Amino acid sequence: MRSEEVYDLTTLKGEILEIVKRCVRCRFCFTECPVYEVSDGWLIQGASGITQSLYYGILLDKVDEKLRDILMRCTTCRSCEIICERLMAGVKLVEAIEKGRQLLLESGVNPLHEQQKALESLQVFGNPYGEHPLKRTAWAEGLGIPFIEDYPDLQTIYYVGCTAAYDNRVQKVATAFVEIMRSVGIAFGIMKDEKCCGDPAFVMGEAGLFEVLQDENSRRMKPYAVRELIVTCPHGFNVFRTDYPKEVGEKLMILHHTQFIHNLLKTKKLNFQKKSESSIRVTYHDPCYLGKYNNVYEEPREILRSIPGIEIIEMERIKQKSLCCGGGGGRMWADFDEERRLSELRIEEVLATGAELLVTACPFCLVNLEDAVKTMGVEEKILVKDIAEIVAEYI
Amino acid sequence: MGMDREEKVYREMVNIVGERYVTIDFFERINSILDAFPYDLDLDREKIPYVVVRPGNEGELCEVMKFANEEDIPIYPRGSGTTFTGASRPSERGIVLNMSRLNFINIDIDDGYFECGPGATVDSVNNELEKHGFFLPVYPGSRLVASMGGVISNNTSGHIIDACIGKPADYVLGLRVVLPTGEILETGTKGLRKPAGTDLTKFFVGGDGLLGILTLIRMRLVPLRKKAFGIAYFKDAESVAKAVVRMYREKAPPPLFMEFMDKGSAEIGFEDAGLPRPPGPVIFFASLGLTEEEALDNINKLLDVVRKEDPIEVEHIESLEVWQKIWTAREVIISSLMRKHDGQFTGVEIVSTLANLVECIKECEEFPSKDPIFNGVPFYLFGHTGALTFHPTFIIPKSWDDNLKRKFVDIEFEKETEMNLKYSTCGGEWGQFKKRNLFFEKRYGSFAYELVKKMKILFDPKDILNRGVIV
Repeated sequence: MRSEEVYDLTTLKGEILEIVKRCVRCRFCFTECPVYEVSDGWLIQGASGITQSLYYGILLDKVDEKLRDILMRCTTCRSCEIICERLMAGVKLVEAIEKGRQLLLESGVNPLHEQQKALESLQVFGNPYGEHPLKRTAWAEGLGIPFIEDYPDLQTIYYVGCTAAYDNRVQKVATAFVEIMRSVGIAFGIMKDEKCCGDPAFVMGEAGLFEVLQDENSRRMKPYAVRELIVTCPHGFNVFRTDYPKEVGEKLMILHHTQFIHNLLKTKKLNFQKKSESSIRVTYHDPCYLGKYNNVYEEPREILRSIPGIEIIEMERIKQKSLCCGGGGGRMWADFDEERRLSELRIEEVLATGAELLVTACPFCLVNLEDAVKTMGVEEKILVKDIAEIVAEYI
Repeated sequence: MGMDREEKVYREMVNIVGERYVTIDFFERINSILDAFPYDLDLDREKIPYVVVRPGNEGELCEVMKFANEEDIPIYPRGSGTTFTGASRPSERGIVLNMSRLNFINIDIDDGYFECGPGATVDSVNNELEKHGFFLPVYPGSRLVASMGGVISNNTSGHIIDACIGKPADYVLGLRVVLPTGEILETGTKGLRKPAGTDLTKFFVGGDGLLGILTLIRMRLVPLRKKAFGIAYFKDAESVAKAVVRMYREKAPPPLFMEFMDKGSAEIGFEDAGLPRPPGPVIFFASLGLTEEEALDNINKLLDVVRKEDPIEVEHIESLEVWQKIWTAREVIISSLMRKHDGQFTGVEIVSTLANLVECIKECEEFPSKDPIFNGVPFYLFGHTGALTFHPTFIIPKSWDDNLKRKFVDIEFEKETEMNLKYSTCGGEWGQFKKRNLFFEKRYGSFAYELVKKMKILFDPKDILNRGVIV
């Protein structure tokens, strides 16, 4: 979905059919689809079943709420596209699903209730959590972080993102990241009235709203000298890189904080201190939008490896085969009656490694996995942290 | 009437398996009748079932069958819908049975066999077996998702060469089957000696799903073997065929796999796999042995035979990594070709006799000249040449009208029929009916065809099971 294009329904339908027509219906994607893994086992609950439903929904004129419930189940983790690319026709299944969601909205089918609320909040407040825009920078009070609006010569901007700005737990990731920046003496700023990056609108099919948010963020950054945009959320990172107008990417170096920290290590600007004699067993969960979308697999692992006293124990499913936490694709705002929560399944995989610390690099993963640790009652066994928090502890 | 029946079927199914495992969701029903043919469903020809049901055990399945038999409702059991003979698209409205819940796998090392449900996938069974040092002697291209029920009902071993290791039927010790009338049948043995004489197992292994529904499959455990690999490039396909004939005639040990790719498909596949450009048509093969030495000895014997046909290059592949690259090139060839031409694939299965292999491979190369509809459509030839099997394959444009696509596929099967009749062979991989009914009748005579129908009626008096697959 390219933001600058405007669709009429026929064009949109034609594009979806064209994508899905490539599908051979081999169903190999079912073997990698996380939502199918935790489903009841119906075909409509897995990748190719979802896209075939969309295909026949269009052909047989059944773009309705039933189709919506099928389409909204997808976490857009991209595992299906990866296996299809490797073994079959290279069908852009997730792209079809995102376009399908757009088709639903444009055909007058509302998203699910919670999603609707999130979208309305995006429209009114510029974040999906119903929080007031004036509170967006409350987390940074007392930290003395300059606003780029006041210091237009700042070259580095930290795009905080909605979850790190408003969620009490994830705010700690933002403060940890600030601590890292301070420790290396890099001058940076944040935006006074940063808006949501637009990813939730994009994946839920609200193309128009995505454009508005995208326009606002681009417009607000434009007058300043900013050269480098650092993002602690892979969803924002991805949407800035791939779905914002090309000019944004050309003007700005867009980096996820794992890449930024990795650069600091490579250029020896960052050094770690040994904290104790004993070692700590750590496992790393790949966020889909960092790994499967942007191939950032090694940087976070290299960061962890260079911390003294940290021993990495990998889970069985990692990198391209990593299990989604269940938070992508608007699923933070859509609950389905699933047998198992993906995040709980993932925590079981974490427990199987014997690690005592689970590190990830995405606010959605952090929130979901930490919730799972609580609901499973294994807080004694496993801690969940963002990589920025661990790095901040060792500098 | 229609609505009443739907309602009645739904209620009865809920009574039997519980609400959770029955659905009338339109999209689930659509998904449950799809297959891998390159054209869309035509709802005038292919019928959406009343319900999709997922029985959880044999008892529930019996109840479903009894009800369906009483009410004369067609039953279409479904594994993963990866068949290439059109049998996954029901020609009448009925009940689709999704067999995925019957996916148990029990490995019984003490008894020397394993048992699994029809809904277990080939891949999951093989993975489980490998953990214990065994393997499943079955390798369909669709093995990631293909179900054991489908594999056994087709008696297919996929790419595997019959002369090396045989067909599933050689390993199936016994079955449990639910008949269309609801009776449960136990066949075969729990011993490692297959029955001599009458064994009802044979009606169901390779029975095209016409006579009963498998609920338990018992197969002998086969220890993992050591492998050794080789590859040879030739100046033309004729030399390939001659080398294969030599392998059989000169008593070289038949390998587990011996795959052929024509120059065109090998060039595209090898490029995608990051391999050097092949100098000509290629065969590559994997020999088995109980020890490394035996596997090596077997591959050397094969290489010796192959060398006699003057290959451009011939090589014992020592690196597993290189072999895996070559194997991947073959595994994903359909994907490579579809992307190259931005189209949809369709193909058939031609099997040769040993004596006619040279003629057959040449005729397969000329397959597109058999009908004007094939003109200008990208064409490739590859196949399991060690099993004397070829897959002439076309990549048709996505944009073609569905009627044209259907016509194209029908003509392909007509030509397949002509060739397999000419060579007095039959498909060894995809099952015998639906798109191959005409072939069966011509190949074995109308008496034989009628006999199969009578046999079906004997097991299934009201013809409720897979109705329309054989007519």
